[in-house]
Amino acid sequence: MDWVAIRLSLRLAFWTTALLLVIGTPLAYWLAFGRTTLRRLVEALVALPLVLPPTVLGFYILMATGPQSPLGRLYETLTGRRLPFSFQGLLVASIVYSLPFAVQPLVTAFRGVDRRLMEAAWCLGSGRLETFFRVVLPLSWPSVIAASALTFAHTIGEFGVVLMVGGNLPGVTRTVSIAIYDEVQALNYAAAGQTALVLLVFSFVVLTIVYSLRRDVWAVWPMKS
Amino acid sequence: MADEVLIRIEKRYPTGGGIRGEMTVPLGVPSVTVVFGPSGSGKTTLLRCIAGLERPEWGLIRFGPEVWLDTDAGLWVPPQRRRVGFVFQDDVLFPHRTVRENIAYGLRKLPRPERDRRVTELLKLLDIEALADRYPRTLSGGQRRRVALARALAPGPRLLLLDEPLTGLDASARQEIQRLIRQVLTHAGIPAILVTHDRDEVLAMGDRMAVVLDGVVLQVGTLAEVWERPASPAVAQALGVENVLRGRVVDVNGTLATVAVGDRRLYAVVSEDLRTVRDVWVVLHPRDVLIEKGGSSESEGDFQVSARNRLVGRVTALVPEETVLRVWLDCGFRLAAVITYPAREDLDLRVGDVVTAIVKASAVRLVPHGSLQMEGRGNGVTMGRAR
Repeated sequence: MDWVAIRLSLRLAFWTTALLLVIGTPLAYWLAFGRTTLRRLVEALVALPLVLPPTVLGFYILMATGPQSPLGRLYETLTGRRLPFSFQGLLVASIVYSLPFAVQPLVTAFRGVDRRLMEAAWCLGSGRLETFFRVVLPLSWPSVIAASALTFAHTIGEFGVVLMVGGNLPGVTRTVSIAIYDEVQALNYAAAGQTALVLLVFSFVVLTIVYSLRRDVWAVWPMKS
Repeated sequence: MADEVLIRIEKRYPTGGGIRGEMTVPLGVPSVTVVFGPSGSGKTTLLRCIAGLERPEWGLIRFGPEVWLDTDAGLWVPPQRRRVGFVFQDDVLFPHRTVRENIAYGLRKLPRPERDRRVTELLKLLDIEALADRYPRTLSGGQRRRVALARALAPGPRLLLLDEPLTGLDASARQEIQRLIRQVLTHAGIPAILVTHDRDEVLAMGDRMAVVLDGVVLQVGTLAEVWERPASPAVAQALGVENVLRGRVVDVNGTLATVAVGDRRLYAVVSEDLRTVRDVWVVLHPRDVLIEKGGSSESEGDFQVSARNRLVGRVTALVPEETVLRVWLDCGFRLAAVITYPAREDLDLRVGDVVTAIVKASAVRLVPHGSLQMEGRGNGVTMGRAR
């Protein structure tokens, strides 16, 4: 079994999930409660990775982060390094690729919070930020965990985007899925089968957790008699 | 006058509905202003505008010298800075917080010991100490309403807004909550605006009332003013067909109470829980008033019928309605009766005739007068102003 690849995949998935929660939560809040028409546009943009072929997505990310692009140049001047074919570049790609998996459950959860609970908080002196942390987020935690789990699992399983942006550098960008592909190409079916089984079991466990959490934990309001 | 809340607004929803009108609420004295109207008339919108949860297109809301809304000047104060307590119709307690944590929600800025003290005080005031560590989903309707009251009162609001606070409760819980609302308002020394569609709640809770119909505030005044002089036929119709008279229980003999209405005496059957009440609203349906031509036999002991109440009066108006004729009498107070057209023929009833109104004691309903300001009680001393 390719432990280097597994460790790399876990590291990538962890950082993708952590950063997506930080970026995705305010984005989801805005999508859930914002009032501008710009919202529709951003909503569609966030959902794009769901339907685009990973190669297309990977291609654009490669272009956007390459040394010819303003973004790539900016990164290079700041850090002295290049994004493509590095772990950081892979991280950027993973974040874009998994964006809908983090944002959509959060939007659904935030929208599901009874608006009057927020109004009650406002009348009790809470500002919007305080209301979010003391009312909206605690009532959405099953979805936050579901969003994290989905993002994590989705990142572990990505292939096309990694291949486009990261290439195949052992310990840097060679993730589990790439490793399996390599083993199969080398007709090394036993090694491929072992790693594949690990991925299968892992994904199954994660999905079980997600589905048991998404049941309405706070099935308590509004209690119409 | 600066010592009042002035509300003058117009709020329209794009989908229809809304509210337009003007009303004032006195400050500095505990009082209940009831906003009364059928469901869908815009009462709740009015309350939400006062809380700052809705933003009227046009208007002015002033709380004493503070301006909360002035559309001409582009001023708007968000709900967080209005310091009002809002009790929602379905309580809307935070489901992820215990009773204690719900009450403490608005007290985050207080130091811990002070916060605990305040929560304990409110738990005691509303008699929910035993529920302190329970979650809202495990509470009954009446218990949840108490917690909602405590939570709204905790940060020390300057005005309490209550949206249908008695709806959805059973009879005994309603009485409890009614009593508690009065108690907490007196305790906090603040006024309240209460929204209801229930006429009995108006009578039981109100000092002043505003009548709202089809999104318009039609009349504002004390209960007696509004009931005795409805501003329009529409208001009169909204208030209902029943006679509502201000009375005082002067004697209770067994189950029979003697009630003074103006300079007249009425007899009413009372239930156990009304024995100790003195100020009452006398509610009397016009169909329960019989009319006898002539006015000779008001004195007691001269009864030829079983009914206890015989009131001599004069006919002031005859108003034809669809199937019956409404007879307005002046018996020292205004009293409505309905009779059939053949009855009118037989009696040959005309305006100015002297008649006797006959009412069974069991048809006279007494509603305890819930006024915090005790208007019209005794020598006119008002508790609130003596503060």
